[in-house]
Amino acid sequence: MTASTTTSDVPAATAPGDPLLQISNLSVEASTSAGTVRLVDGLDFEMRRGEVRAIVGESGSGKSTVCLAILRLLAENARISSGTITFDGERIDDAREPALRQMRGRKIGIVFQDPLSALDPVRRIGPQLGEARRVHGLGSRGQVAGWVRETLGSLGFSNPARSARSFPNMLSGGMRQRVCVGIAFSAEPKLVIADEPTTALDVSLQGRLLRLLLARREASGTAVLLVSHDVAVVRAVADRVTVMFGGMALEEGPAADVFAAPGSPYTAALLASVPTMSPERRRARMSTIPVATVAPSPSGCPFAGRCRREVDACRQAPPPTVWLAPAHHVRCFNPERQP
Amino acid sequence: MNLAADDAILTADAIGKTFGRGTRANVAVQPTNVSFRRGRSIGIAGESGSGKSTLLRLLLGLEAPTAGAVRFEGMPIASLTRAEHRRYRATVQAVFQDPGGSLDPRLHIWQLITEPAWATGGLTRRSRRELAARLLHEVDLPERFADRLPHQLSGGERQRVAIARAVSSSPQLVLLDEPVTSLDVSVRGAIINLLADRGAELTYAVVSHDLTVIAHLTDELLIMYQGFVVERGPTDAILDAPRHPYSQALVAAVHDPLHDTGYDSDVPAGAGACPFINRCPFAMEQCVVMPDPVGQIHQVRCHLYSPDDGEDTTRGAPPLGSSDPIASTVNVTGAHQ
Repeated sequence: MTASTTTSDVPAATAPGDPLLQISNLSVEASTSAGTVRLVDGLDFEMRRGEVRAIVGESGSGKSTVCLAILRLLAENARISSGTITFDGERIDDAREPALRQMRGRKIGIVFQDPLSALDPVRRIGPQLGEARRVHGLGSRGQVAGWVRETLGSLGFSNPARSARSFPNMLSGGMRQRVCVGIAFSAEPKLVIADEPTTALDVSLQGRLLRLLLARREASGTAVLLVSHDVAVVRAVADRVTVMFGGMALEEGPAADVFAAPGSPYTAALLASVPTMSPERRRARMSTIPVATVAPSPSGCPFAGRCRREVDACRQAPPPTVWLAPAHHVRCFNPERQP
Repeated sequence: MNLAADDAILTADAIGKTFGRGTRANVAVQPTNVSFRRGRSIGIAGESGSGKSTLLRLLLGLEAPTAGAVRFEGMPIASLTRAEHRRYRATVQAVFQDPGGSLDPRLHIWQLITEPAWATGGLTRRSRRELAARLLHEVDLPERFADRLPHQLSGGERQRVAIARAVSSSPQLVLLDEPVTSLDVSVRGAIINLLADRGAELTYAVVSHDLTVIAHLTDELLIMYQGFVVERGPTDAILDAPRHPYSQALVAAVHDPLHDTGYDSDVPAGAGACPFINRCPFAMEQCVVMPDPVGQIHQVRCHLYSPDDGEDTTRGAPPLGSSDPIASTVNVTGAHQ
């Protein structure tokens, strides 16, 4: 294993037609006591090598389910009911467990929301940080130990040798989450999935963690899939964004375009409901999204009933894909704007 | 009613809380004075571990302070008579972060929301049902919700139930512990509006790590860091020109999610030192001793400021370097309009 993932080979890899991750018509269903529930409905997207893509959505939008489907870590009652997931040229939606074990940690790293539960409380930091390199054979014991000390230094630990010997409870929440970022990138993966990585952190430490994530990605050419409910965070870091609601991707496009001129009424309402601290709006009434009085029809748009641009068709059929620009589309019968 | 002359509903008199003792003592709240007066809602901001939730529990009488006393009508709440304690319970109510965990899952909504009023006396079953209908209406929930159970409602609906319950005994002071943190962005606004609409008759104590919630609901603000109130003053003054380096970092993070103070040390501060010393970009030699507060209306505990400074002096780097924080807020949230 050489330093194969340096920035120098990224440009060649980002050539059109060579996506790192390709999700086509993905649906995930779960069987519950109340019957079968569709968690993800006909999702399509592609990630290029080295890009930062965000999935933004509220609870129940299906954003975390997408991550679990990619990692093939869905709960026992959930399954991929249709569609394909292709990662680095290979189908992974039907891959078997040995192949998946090679993928998780090695080709795809993960940063979870809560660093306290993601780290083993009874193991020292050093072995946990170096585990993926050791398991996947990236260097001898001594080489891994050296790599751990070097990495702890670059993660901002003042005394790497001492920190490698400490237990997770001896570190602050911010430092623990930085260890988790180090672990996610440790085996030089091609993709890192970060599911709400800053939600459990003090806001004064959020910027530091996001910058660390972006710096690691810059240095390694690794693509990052960021899952977040926080519009401000997504806006600050993502190249491309997918807006999910009720299992459906209602809008997809370059982050700058989606935030500047949202095409989906849901995206527009979500952006308007973000609280602000600007003096003139501090005491103003907040913009809200009405609660549905009638449940949306399972065959129609999931946002029907809460949407201010609703038309009759919204309850009768799945919303069509409307392209607003070559790389920006919405699923909507009555978008905020036309192409 | 024997209210103090300054109209205080509840007063915290140098209250502090230390867990454990001796070498294992952990000071959760350093001695703090807070006075809740009618019409002056107060925000308490800080990260987890700052002591803000412990302070709230002290005010509610859920924890006994190890220093000072919480006074209701001038009397320490620990020594209230039964009748006084009932009045304290009716006057001071709370809404907690997780409406799923704070509502008894076996009680119907009509029972839940009228319980505080019922417990303080004088309600028949019939008047209890009538009160329930009125309270549901006040929080914009349909009357048919009266006979449902908490698990049949969404998170936003449950938080409305918790608010209805808190206001059922006609309190004067409502303590809100992270009132919208567990809710989706699209329903947060509706809850904040509901609370703001009642702001004329109610006084709030809002504990949150989210300054935008505090900005919408409060007149005064306390910023806590590891048990210390490091800055306090009018909410607008602090949000417009935070003085303590920690407050500056908090405010900057709202305007710019990528803002980085550049310091996040794993080294704990020594005893007696400013707790922010190892994360502070302006740390100096004097910082090994925590200074006293400086200022009158807008107070800060930081060696960057001396008693001779005017109230409006702000030291340290502006939160966003050279750019204007207000302009960048508009940039962050104004694009959709």
